[in-house]
Amino acid sequence: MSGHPVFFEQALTKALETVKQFHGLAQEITLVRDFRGRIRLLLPGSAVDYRNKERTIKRLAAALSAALGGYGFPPEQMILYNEALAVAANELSDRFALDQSDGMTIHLLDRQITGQDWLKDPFASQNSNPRATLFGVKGGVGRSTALIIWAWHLAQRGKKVLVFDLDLESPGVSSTLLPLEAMPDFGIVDWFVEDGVGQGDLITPEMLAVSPLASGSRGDIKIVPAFGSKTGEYLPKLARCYAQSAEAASWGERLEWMVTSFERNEQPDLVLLDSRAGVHDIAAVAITRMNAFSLLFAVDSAQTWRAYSFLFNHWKRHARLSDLRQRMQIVAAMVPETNRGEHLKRFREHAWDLFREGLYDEVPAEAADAFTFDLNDEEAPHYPAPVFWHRALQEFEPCAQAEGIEGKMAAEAMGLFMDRADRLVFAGVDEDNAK
Amino acid sequence: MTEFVFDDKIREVIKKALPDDTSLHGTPPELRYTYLPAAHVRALRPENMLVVGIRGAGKSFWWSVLQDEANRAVIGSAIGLGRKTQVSAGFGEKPEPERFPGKDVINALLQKGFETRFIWKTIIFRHIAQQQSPENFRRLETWAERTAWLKDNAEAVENIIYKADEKLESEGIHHLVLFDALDRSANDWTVRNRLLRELLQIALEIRSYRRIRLKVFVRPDQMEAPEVTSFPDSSKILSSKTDLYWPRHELYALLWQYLSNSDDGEVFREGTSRMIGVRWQQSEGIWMVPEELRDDEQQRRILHSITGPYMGRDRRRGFPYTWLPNHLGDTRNEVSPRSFLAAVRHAALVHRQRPDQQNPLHYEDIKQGVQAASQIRVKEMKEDYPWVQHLLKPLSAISVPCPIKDIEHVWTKGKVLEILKQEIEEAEERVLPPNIARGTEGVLKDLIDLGLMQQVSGNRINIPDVYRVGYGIGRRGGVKPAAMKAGTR
Repeated sequence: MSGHPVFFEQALTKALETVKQFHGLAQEITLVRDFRGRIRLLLPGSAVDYRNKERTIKRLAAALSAALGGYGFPPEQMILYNEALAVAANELSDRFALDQSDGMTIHLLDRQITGQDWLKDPFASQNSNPRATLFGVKGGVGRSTALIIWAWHLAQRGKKVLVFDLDLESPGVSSTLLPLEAMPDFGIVDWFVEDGVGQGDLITPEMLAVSPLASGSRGDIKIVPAFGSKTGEYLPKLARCYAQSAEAASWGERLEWMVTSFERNEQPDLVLLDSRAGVHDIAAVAITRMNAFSLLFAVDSAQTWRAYSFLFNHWKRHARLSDLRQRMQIVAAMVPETNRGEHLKRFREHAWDLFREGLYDEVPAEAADAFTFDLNDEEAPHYPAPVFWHRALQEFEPCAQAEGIEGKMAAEAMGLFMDRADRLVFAGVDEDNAK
Repeated sequence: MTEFVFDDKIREVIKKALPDDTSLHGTPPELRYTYLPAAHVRALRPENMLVVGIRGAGKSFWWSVLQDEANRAVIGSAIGLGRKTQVSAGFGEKPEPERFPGKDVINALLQKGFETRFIWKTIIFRHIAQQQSPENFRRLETWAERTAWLKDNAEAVENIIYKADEKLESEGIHHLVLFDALDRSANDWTVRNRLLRELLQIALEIRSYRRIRLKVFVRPDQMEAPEVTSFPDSSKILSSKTDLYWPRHELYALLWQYLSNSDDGEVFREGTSRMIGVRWQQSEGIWMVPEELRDDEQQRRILHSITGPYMGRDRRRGFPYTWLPNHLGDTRNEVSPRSFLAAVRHAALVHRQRPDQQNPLHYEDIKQGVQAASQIRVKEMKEDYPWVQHLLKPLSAISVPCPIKDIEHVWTKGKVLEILKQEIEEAEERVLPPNIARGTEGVLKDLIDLGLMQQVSGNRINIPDVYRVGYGIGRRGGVKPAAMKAGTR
């Protein structure tokens, strides 16, 4: 086998072919490909479970090691066990099935970025202003629209709002808040690429724009968009966004650093982070690591609750659970025009189950300091802040219309949401200031 | 500018102002503490005959206030009653043999074969006719004799009532006959229901007079039984039904009424004046709660100045202003003002200085206050519905929310329904859950009707905090607190 070098493209095929010869070993096998493309094998359970298959395992490890060449490992490092590594459920969810035959499924878990941000500690943020992340486990539920109307409402009240469009894969807030001619030169994707070679600072002055949406109000909305007018080719930049920087800082650390530097200059009253939808590392950082309040958008569907329970069960093991769960607030998105009461009641029950089983404490009768809330407790994290479906929000382009956002519509669709969100992020701040 | 905050003096005001027992048991309330919520005005107007309120909502309170001339002078104009209005008690919690027959007398009358209808009519006639009734009626000494007389003198009775109504009309005044505590009119459901049905029927008939009105105060569950409303035209009385509901801002306004009118009320009045620039005014020597103090936002500021802004070290445990009523509400979010005042009073009573104390009341005080109010609520339920505790106590072994079948299992395994039947049979008051004949499913419905339990998705049951805590039932959660892990296991 020596003399025949194995290249990246061939490694996976070779691994697959080799593993398929051992189909009796387990029903599910995962090939883990690391940053460099080196491949190892992940077996469910722990080594003890394979005691009577020790010889088979040895043969497999040797065969793989030989087949993969530079993309393999020495035989004794070739096999990993799920339990020994404590591989998290959501990490495994990133894998996809490569092959299914002979009663065995072979998955690939491709580790391109550092991952694991969901469970890490928050950054030692130095922000004095509150931050809020708007997140949806699924997209298309009006998250960005809600963000814009809320920002507008806050600007009307004289607040300085700073928005970051972190939905890099489908930037929406950027173009809704900024007409083409108001775009700054660069955006967040540019910053990550430039920062990767140590030049982030050079473009920060050209990344911020003032949204004309708040021009008539006492406050203002400033935005750091996903892209700028000089971004040029978006996709190649996006692909490089998640790479580690020259100083080996993680994506999350770099984001925190960028946001903080803008906060220092702008002194906003509130920072809004429009997180991308879905279980993704951007969301992981924005929700669990940036010391932000999280507004979790949801529609009342089984899919949504299942996806959220996935996250919640993950957070349950979070070392900082007690901090984390106090920053959560569920939002009932797209509440239909008819039967609102019934709809919200059902939503509330489902949200209660989600929070109770995921984040609330079990209590005997009345524990003095337990974190738990009754179903109808209107201040509870599970008690939905509703965003009502509104015709005017369906083709929402406030910057294209002379009148901007209509106050009456905003109040109808989002009045309750905004009251709740205001209280969530400003309750402490305003009352502290009053003292 | 630093905002005004209440100091420890306010705690003493709370302790002094709030009564340890707000139930009146028939005595007229102190004038200065009578607060009329806007939502109750309609219920108290003479034309509304049927007034519904949960235990502690103020049925007996208004029954008593309306009879008291001094109280009527204060609230009369708001509810359309002149000073000279006549008010009589047709039935009440405490026996008053001169004014109405008590439970045992009614029972005896029924045993003798008197019709329910005539028993009520006799009481009403006697109040309306007064001195205009014939000498030979006035001389009668027992309710049995009076009822017999009434039955034999239908035409005279009609004439006298007609004339009395004419006289009231010419004087431009009303005569109200009030009925309260009808659950104490008999020992079992069948008789109670019949008594109520006949009374409602008479209330409806009396509407044809111009100035004579009945006002019947009942709990929602008393209206549940179908036979209560099974008479022609019952829809007319049901459609005019009014509720003694206490929205959150009215609970706080009631609290302000107490605090501002107590002996040291100045502390509260001056504080609120400095805080929000409100001007206090007196009417008939009583401080009236100003409009600004009925506003949610102002109320929140005032309360939080006494309690601090959060129900914990951080905001996510909730805010005292909403937390308090939220934790005292039943499944329909109805809060009895009695529970509410009890919770505030107990918070002040149990108060002790804590290191992180910044306000006169600490959130731990409030939590304890609410727990005490929970216990009071449970005690009240026991008084009104002795069967409830038989069903709830065994559930302390489970946590909610839980599948319906878990609850049914506890009841079946412990033979709870059988024991309940047996014990109630032996008790003086033989009032069983109305639907016990349908077994566990039936009593579950009864508890849901009472606002003690609610059904949630997936055929599960939840119990709201006020009862969950009161009956010592836990709540399920996915996170096992460290304290529990470090416990006995």
